[in-house]
Amino acid sequence: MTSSTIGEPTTAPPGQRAGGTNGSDGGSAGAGTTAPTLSDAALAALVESTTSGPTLAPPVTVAGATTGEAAATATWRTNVTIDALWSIDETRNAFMHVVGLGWRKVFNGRDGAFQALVLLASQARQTGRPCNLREEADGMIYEIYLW
Amino acid sequence: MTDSPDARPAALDLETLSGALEAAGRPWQMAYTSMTALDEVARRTRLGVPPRPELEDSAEAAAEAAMAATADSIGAPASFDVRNINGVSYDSPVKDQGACGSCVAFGVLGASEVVFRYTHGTTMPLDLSEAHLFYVYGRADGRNCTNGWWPEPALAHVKATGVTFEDYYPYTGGDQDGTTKLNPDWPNRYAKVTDYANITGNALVMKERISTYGAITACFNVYQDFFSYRSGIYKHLSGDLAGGHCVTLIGYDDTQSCWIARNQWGNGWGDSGYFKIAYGECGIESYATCSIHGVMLHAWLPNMAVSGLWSNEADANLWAYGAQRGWLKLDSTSPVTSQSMASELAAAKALGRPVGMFEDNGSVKQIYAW
Repeated sequence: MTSSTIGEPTTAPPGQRAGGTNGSDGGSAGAGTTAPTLSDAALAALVESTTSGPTLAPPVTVAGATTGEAAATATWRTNVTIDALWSIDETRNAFMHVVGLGWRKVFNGRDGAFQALVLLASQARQTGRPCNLREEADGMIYEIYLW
Repeated sequence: MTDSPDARPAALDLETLSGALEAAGRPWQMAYTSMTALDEVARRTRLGVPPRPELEDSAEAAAEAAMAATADSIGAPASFDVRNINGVSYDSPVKDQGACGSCVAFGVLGASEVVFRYTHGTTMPLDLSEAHLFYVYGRADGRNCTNGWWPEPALAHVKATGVTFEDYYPYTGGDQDGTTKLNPDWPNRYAKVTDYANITGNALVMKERISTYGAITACFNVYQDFFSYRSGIYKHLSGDLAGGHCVTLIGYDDTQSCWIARNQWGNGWGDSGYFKIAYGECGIESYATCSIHGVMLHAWLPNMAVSGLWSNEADANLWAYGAQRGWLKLDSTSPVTSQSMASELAAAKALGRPVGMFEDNGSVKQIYAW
């Protein structure tokens, strides 16, 4: 596949310029469907008990793609941070907790993309750096810019 | 430049030029430039394309055609100057070809450097070796400091084999066997033009290509008054034909009906090395004009700060943003390979440490993170 068919980054880091175009690719079935059950309040309490990570905002919803949460089509979440992660021993099943938004499931269509997105989410969580996330109608995060 | 230049051509009398400028209403300003300081033979040595005096007969028609071919008719801006694109310059520095008719190498590589920077949206310095192009490829084609060259065959070499960077073969003016001076590691450090086209005689396409890719290369007849140009919009007024010359066009202005060009006679000539030339003048559109549509690198990029990482739902589609260079795709053949690179780059990013990346045509093939 070429960059034009599988997408490429189109946004430059803050204060910088880049070119290029994006595409999108469908997912595939067979991935795990369990979602994290820890509430935001419980998560906040855990985080407060440590010295790392930002203070969690108190969104009400804690849900992923499998819970039926309504999400707009291709919604961009810009300049957000990730303060928690979750995964389980199921195929391609991991979530990130986005400050102010709650839990979001990582795109689970294929191994390579899934691992790459989890890598970026993990790095974002570790460094506290801002991200831009593309959330599709199925509630999953399909694209991550990590600044 | 001519194939058999006159041994002692007479220089243009500057008082004559001053009078001609006065009579024409001073369309441009003259000065005692770095070229004025040379004798006539030395001046003509600093050209480098066989002349086309027959173009003088079609100058008026060429000017009318260039003015009629307005940039806005194709959706291009009415004026364009790659030195100021929203406050950013994608130009590369003015050089000096010295005592050699190697202007084609400078016109071609000057445009290549600008096209790389502008099309990638990067201000990363790129300095290509005119010596490699002229003293290796040109020499192999039978070209030398006396008989000059043409842009199209030069571009064929840059596309097919590539040209190394200036530090691997620094330029000096004067015939030499480049094969003995070229750094033997050059196959690991070069740039290639990905595509180019001969657009001679089409002013509309010239404007479209300049505004799309940042620059083109063009040739024109040089008359003696041009040697003493300082500023303004050049039109031939006085003096004999001295030879043909190749430069880099970096802009145009439909309001002033002129092209904006970078010469390679140093900063002491013209407007700090640059000049404007009126549409249709001296065969600037119809002599030999080539556009360059992309430039790729095959080289190490040292000391790059990683300021962004990206991926999406496609496998093996991880990109890193190297400060100055912009987005580069991590080796795309295997998800495992790209993720291992991304892990190392992510660590460097987190630490704020620079990395070394080996780029091949927009992809990262190897990295050092320390």
